[in-house]
Amino acid sequence: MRNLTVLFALTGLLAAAPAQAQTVKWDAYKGTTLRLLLNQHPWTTAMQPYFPEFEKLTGIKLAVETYPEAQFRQKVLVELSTGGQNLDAFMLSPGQEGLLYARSGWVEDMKTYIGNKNLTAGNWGFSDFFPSVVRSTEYNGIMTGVPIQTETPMLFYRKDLFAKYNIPVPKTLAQMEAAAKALNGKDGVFGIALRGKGASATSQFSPYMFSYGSTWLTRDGQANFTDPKFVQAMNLYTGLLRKYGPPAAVTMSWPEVTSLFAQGKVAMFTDASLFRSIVDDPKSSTVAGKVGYAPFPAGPAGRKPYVTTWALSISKGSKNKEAAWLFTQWATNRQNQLRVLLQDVPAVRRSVWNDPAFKKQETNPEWTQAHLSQLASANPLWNPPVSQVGEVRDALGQAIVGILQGGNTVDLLKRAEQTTNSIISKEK
Amino acid sequence: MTSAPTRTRGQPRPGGSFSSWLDRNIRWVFPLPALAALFALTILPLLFNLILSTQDRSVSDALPSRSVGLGNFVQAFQDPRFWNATKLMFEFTLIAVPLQMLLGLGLALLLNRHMRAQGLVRAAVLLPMISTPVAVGLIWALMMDPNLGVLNYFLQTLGLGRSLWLADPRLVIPALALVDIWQWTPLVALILLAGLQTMPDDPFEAARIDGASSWQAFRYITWPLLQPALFAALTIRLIDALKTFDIIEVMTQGGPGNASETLNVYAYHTGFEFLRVGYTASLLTLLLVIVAVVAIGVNLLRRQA
Repeated sequence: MRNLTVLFALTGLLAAAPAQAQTVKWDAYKGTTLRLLLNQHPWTTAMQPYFPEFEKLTGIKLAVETYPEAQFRQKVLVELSTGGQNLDAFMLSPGQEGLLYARSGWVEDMKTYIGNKNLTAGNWGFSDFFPSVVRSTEYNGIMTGVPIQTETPMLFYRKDLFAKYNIPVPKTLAQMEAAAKALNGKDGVFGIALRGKGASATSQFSPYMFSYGSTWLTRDGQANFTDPKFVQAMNLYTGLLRKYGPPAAVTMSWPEVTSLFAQGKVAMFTDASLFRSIVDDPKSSTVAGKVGYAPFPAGPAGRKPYVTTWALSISKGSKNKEAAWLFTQWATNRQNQLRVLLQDVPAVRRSVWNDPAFKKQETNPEWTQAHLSQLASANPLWNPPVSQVGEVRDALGQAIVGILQGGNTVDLLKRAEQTTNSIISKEK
Repeated sequence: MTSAPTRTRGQPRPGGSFSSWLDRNIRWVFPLPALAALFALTILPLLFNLILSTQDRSVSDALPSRSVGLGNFVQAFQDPRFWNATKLMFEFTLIAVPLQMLLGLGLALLLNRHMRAQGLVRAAVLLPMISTPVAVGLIWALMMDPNLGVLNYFLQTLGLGRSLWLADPRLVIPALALVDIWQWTPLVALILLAGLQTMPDDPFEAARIDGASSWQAFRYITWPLLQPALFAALTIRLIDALKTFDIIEVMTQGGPGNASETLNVYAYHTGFEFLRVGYTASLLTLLLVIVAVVAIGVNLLRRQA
C-alpha cells in the first residue's frame, strides 16, 4: 500500500515536472535559427503565440513562415525538390504527400529521433499518441512526421430541424439518405451538402467507399473504381448531392459547404470533424448552438471512417536536424497538445482528452464522443496510396463532376480507372 | 621596340589601350548589361524550358526521368484535355477581347469630351485596372455564388430567374470573360484616350467647315488616325487574354470538371499538382508558339491597314 502511494506520488511528480527536467539538454543548440514553413491552419493559430516560450527555453530562434494551404503545399514541394537545405521543419499532411516525400527521400524518419535517448525526453510519452494516428504518418516504412492534430469524418446536423420534424439521428447511410429526403425543401434548406468539386470531393468520398466495403486499389495495386461496391458507394454519394443537395455542388469544396451550412441553408453535411470550429462559432455561424454531431454513419460493411493527420516533419536537407527535432518534440508535448485542444483543434494524445481543463470547458461531449469513438477503427488511406496523388485525385474528381452533371457513372469511373492505371504504371 | 608599330593603332589618345578599346566598341558596351539581363532572365529559361520539354521528368527522383525527344508534343496532340484547353483559351479570348475593344473605344470617346471633374472621372474609371487580379477574382466569385451571391439577387429582382454562373459548364467561360472585361476595359480606354488626345485639330476643323456630321468625322478622321493605338491595345490584350491565369485559377481552378481549364491553367495543373515537369514544359512551349503566332498575325494586319 505504501509502495503504491509512493509510486503514485512519483508518477504525479513526473507528470507535473516540465519536460526540460529530463535528460535532454534543451539549450544544446543555443543560437541556432530554425526556418519553419507552416500551413495557415487552426493548429498554427493556436500554437504560434506560444513559440516565444520555446525560444526562451532553448535559445533557438524560430523563423516562421505561414501560407494558405494551396500555396503552402507548393512552397514546401518546391523547396524540398530542390534539396530543402534552407528548410528545417515544416507541416506535412501524410495522407496527401507522405508517400511521395518518403519515396523521394525528402523527409527524415521520425522513429530514429524518437528512439534517441539523448534527444528525446523520457516523459515526452510517445505511447500516449493514438496508434491509428501514428500509423497514418507511416509511408514506405518511414514515419514521415510527428502528428500534431487529427481529423475524422463526422455527420453535422441541425438539431432544431431534426427535432422539429421528428427525425432520428442517422446511424446508417440509408437512414441518412432518408433524413436528407425528408428535410429537403423544409424551412428553405437543402437536405444535405457534400463536396462536389472534383479532386476535393475524393477524400470526403472515401468513408462512403470504405463503408460499402470497397478500396482505392485492388490487391495487385490497380485502380479499383469499377468494383461494384465502389460504384454503389459513388451512386449514393452523387445521388445524395443530385437529389437533395444545393444546385452548384460541382463548385463546392469545404469552404462552400461549411459556409452554406453556417448560413442555415443546409440540414446536414459530412466532412472533417475540425470544421466544428467554423459551423459552431457564434461569430461566423447563424446556426451556432443548434449543431449536432454524430459519428460517420455505417454502411453495408459497417462503420468505416478515415483519419487524417497533420504532422511536423524535418527536411532531409536541413542543417539543423537535431534542433528541429527539439522543436518538434516541444510542439507535441502534453502541455502544448492540451493548449491546442482547448482551442478546438483535435489533439493526437489520448491523455489530454481526459484532462480536467478540457473536461471543464467541453461544451459538446457529443462531438468529442463522435470523434474519439472513430479513431480506433479509422483508415488512414483517405487518398489513394500512390505517389502521384494529385493526378489520381484529379482523374477521379473529373468522374465525380461528370456524374453530378448527369453522366453515366460506370463509363466515367471506367475512364478514371484507365487514367489512374496508366499513372500507376509510370511509377516505380 | 619592334612591337611599337602594332601599338600605335591602340594609342591614339592618352589613357591606355582600354579606353581606346572602349571608344571603338562603345555601341556594344552600353547595351551589354541589358543583353546580360535578357539572356539570364529570358533566353536561358527559355532554352531550359525547351530542353525540359523533351524529357519525361518529375520533380521527384522517385519517379522516372528520361529523354523522350518530341514525345511530349506527340502526347499533347493526342491529349483531349490539351485540345479542350486550347479551345477554351480561344473561346475566352474571343469573347473578352472584342467586347473590351468596343467598350474601351466608347469609354475613351466619352472621356475625351470636356467635362466637369475630368481628372476624378478618369481616375475612377481606371480603378478596376489597378486592382489585384486575385482580389478581383475572389470578389467576383463571391458575387457569382449561386446560393449566396449578389448577382442572382439582381437577376431575380429583374424577374430573370437564377443563374449558376461558375457552376454551369456552358456559362463559366462567358462569366470569366465578363470579369476580364470589367478589369481590362479601362486599359484599352486609356490607350485609346492617349491616341485621341494626340490627334491634330486641323482635320476636324476642316471637316466642320465642310459640314461633315459627327459620324462622318469619326468614320473618316478619328477612326483612321486611331488605328495605331487600336492595334497597340489589341495586341496587348490578345496576348494577355490568351495567357490569362490568375482570374481563372482563383475563381474556378479550371472547373467545373475542366469546363474552364484554359491552356495556361492546364499547364499549371500538370506542373504543380501532377508534378509532370517535362510535359508542362512542352505545353508551355506550345502556348508560347500560339501567342507568338497571334501577335505576329496582328502585326501583319496592322501593316496592311
